[in-house]
Amino acid sequence: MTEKIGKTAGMSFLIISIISIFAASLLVGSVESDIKGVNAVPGETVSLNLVVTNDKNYERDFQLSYIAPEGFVGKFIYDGKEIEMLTLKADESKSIQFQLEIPPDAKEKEYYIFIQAAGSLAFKINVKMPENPLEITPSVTGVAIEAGDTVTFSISIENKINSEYKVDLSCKVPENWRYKFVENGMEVYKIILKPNEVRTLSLEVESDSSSDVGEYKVIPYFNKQFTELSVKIAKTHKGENGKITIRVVSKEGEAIGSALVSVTHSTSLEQGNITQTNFFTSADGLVTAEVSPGTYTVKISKEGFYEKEIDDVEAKAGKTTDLGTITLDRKPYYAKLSVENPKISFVIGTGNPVFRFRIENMGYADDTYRLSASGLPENFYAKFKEAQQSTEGISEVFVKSGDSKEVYLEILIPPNAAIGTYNLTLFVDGHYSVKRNLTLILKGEYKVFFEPIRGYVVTSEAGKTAEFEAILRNVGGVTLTNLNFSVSAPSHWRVRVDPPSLPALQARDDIPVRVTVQIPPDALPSEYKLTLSIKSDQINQEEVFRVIVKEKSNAGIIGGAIIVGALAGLFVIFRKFGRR
Amino acid sequence: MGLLIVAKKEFADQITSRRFIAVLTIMLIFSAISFYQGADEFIRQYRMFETGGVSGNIPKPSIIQIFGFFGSAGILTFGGILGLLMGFDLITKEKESGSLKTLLSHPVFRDQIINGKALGAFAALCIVIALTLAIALGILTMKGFIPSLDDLTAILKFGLITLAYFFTFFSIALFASTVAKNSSSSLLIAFGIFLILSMAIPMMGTLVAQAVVGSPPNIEPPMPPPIQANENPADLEKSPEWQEYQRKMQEYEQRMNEYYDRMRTVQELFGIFSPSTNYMTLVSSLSERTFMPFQSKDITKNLVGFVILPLVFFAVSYIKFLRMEIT
Repeated sequence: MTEKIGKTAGMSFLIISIISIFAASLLVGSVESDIKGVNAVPGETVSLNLVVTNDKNYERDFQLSYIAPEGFVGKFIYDGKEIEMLTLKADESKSIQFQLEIPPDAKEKEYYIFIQAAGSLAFKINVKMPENPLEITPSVTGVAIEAGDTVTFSISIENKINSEYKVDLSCKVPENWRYKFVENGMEVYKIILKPNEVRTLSLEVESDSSSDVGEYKVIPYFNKQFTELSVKIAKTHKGENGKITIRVVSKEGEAIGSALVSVTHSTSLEQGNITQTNFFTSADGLVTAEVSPGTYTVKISKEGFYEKEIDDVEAKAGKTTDLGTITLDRKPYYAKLSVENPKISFVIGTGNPVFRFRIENMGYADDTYRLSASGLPENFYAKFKEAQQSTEGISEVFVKSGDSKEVYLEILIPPNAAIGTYNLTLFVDGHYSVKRNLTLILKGEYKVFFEPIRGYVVTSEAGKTAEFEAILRNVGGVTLTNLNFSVSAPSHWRVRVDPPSLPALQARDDIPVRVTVQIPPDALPSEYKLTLSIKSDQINQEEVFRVIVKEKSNAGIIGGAIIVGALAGLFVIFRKFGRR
Repeated sequence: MGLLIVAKKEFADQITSRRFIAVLTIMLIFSAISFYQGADEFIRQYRMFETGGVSGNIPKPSIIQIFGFFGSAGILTFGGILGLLMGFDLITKEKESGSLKTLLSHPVFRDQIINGKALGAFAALCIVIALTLAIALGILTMKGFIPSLDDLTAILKFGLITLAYFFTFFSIALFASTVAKNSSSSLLIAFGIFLILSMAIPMMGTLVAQAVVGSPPNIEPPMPPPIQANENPADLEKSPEWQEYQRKMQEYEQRMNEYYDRMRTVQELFGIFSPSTNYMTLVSSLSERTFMPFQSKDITKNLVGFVILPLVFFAVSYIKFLRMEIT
């Protein structure tokens, strides 16, 4: 194949030579060069010095032309100018230059160029790229570092060919290591070297902080050419956590304390299995999040500010990744509502419960907030006040940007309020609305005090009436309603309670209760237990009192009289019938 | 007129006799102690009933309870003895002393004599009963319990039954007195009948019942299934083992009840010839709380036996006395 190509080229040269001789016979001058063939690289510009001679004895103009393969561009230069025609006086000779630009994509082979100027000339260009067009010289070839550190190699590259040379930059580094070529502070990955230009690039290699101690190879590639560098890991941070530090400030440059910094593992985020760790900034806006090595998404949020998210934050083992200062933008309207006592336990009858809360306008604009409360039962009322002792109610409050105001919410409780837990909602509505759930526990003391006037024991006799009198006092703070009195007594006993019922007994009020017991005549002398049940809508209570039924004072006498009478009767009979 | 004179004389003789006074005194003391204890127990139960101290459908305690088991037993024993002692020498003594001839020499008939003697003794027995009941009533009143009309009616019924009981033994003694030649023979006969009716017949009833009905069924009560320590009682009752145990237990109880029912039928048949059994049954019927084991609700046969027995003895005595040859 090579032989064939060689034969074809020889044939072409022969044909062109014949044509040139034939053409030369027609021409009346000559063109000569001392160079018949040159070696060049693609993209190189080859210059040939030509001498053009007018053989005639009269002045003539000569057209300058050339025949070259496609893509090859030539031009004639005379006296620093490009020319197409040359005027020569009789027998005059002039030196001109022929510059030929070899296309950068020219294939590596031999090309033939024909020049016509007074005469004709052919010359050969052998286009061939040298095996190592670059001269690569690293200033340092081996560095010892700590795992996770970044090392910078300075590498000098020289273009050894006469044409511009495009160089693709790449580097082979160990797994999880990173690299970049830097020139003039910028990362570069492709460069063009001018003919014979020398450039110095920085190769920054960032090692993996989990790399084991040992020697690693770093091989930077410049197209196909490369050089070998060594990085020795002297200390490893394998198994250690990484740290991410941030400083959060407002637009005004003030440090934002208590900002929430959520660090989410990027891989878990993609997989939907979110592992999020929350941190809060200190008063000076600083936070250091210690996390396991990996790539994270850091989200910074703070009430009243727009939140900010930073992706692809890498935490390296044993290293600190400083994200620098993050500026959060304040929202125009934002209010913070903090209730000092969101849950109140309150005893009914001791006044009205008061919730104390603070509205803080954290937006950059002033705002007016309407105040309301929902969830209150019937007959309960909410009253907002600017001072606890104030009697004047307010319905809205104006708070300047960055300012705060304390407001009191008094719940007006009806006297017959039922004991229980009430869930309320406090609404603060401005350009920004906020609400809070409040809990009001009413600890009503449903308590009655039963006070017998003459003790819990009543003494009477069978067949007679016993009266038990007492005062029922409502000592709780709540009105008791629908009071009913009933007495459980032995069967056949007739009992009457006065009053049998009562619609309501106001707090701290009292009422006399009288129980009249009709003891049946056949009731045996004994102590009988009677239970007075006090039932109301609110509470039930039982009071036990005792009725002592005494023996009838004459029972013994009657009994004795019966026995004596019987014996006396016997005696009478004995006396009457005993007489003979 | 002759009847009343005889009755009056007989009444006077009875109440003034040392025997009568001695037995009456013993009986009254025994009864008074029993009544005193019975009254305490009755009042305690009555209080519990009144104050609701007992749960369940418990009937109101009957005042008859004051006579208690010992009170009734006292009446049962001493009343029987008193009846016997009052009648065993009623005719024989007259015969032995010869006063019967004297009596018959008066314009008085034989039937008037025996009827008058019975009437006089009956009146004396009435005094005994009235006295006993008056003492019981007195004790109750002293303890603070005032009897209601129902209570008094129950006491009256008790008195009448007791009187009939006393009169039964008086009839037996009268019968012995008419058939015996002398007082000692009469006493032996009377006590013999007393023992036969009060003890021998009930014992015989038991023996005959055992002979007729046979020995109790030779079956063992079923054993309950073993209970696990941590087993829920509610679950246990639903378990098939427990259901099977309950079925077997019901079967066992049914067979045993059938046996005892047959046994009791035979015993009750003999019981109607025993005045003491009839007396206890009738007294128990006054109170819903029985003193008798295996108390039957039907007391008609006891009542018939209780009335017929004294009438039979009295009728036999009457006929015998009228046909008696007085030498």
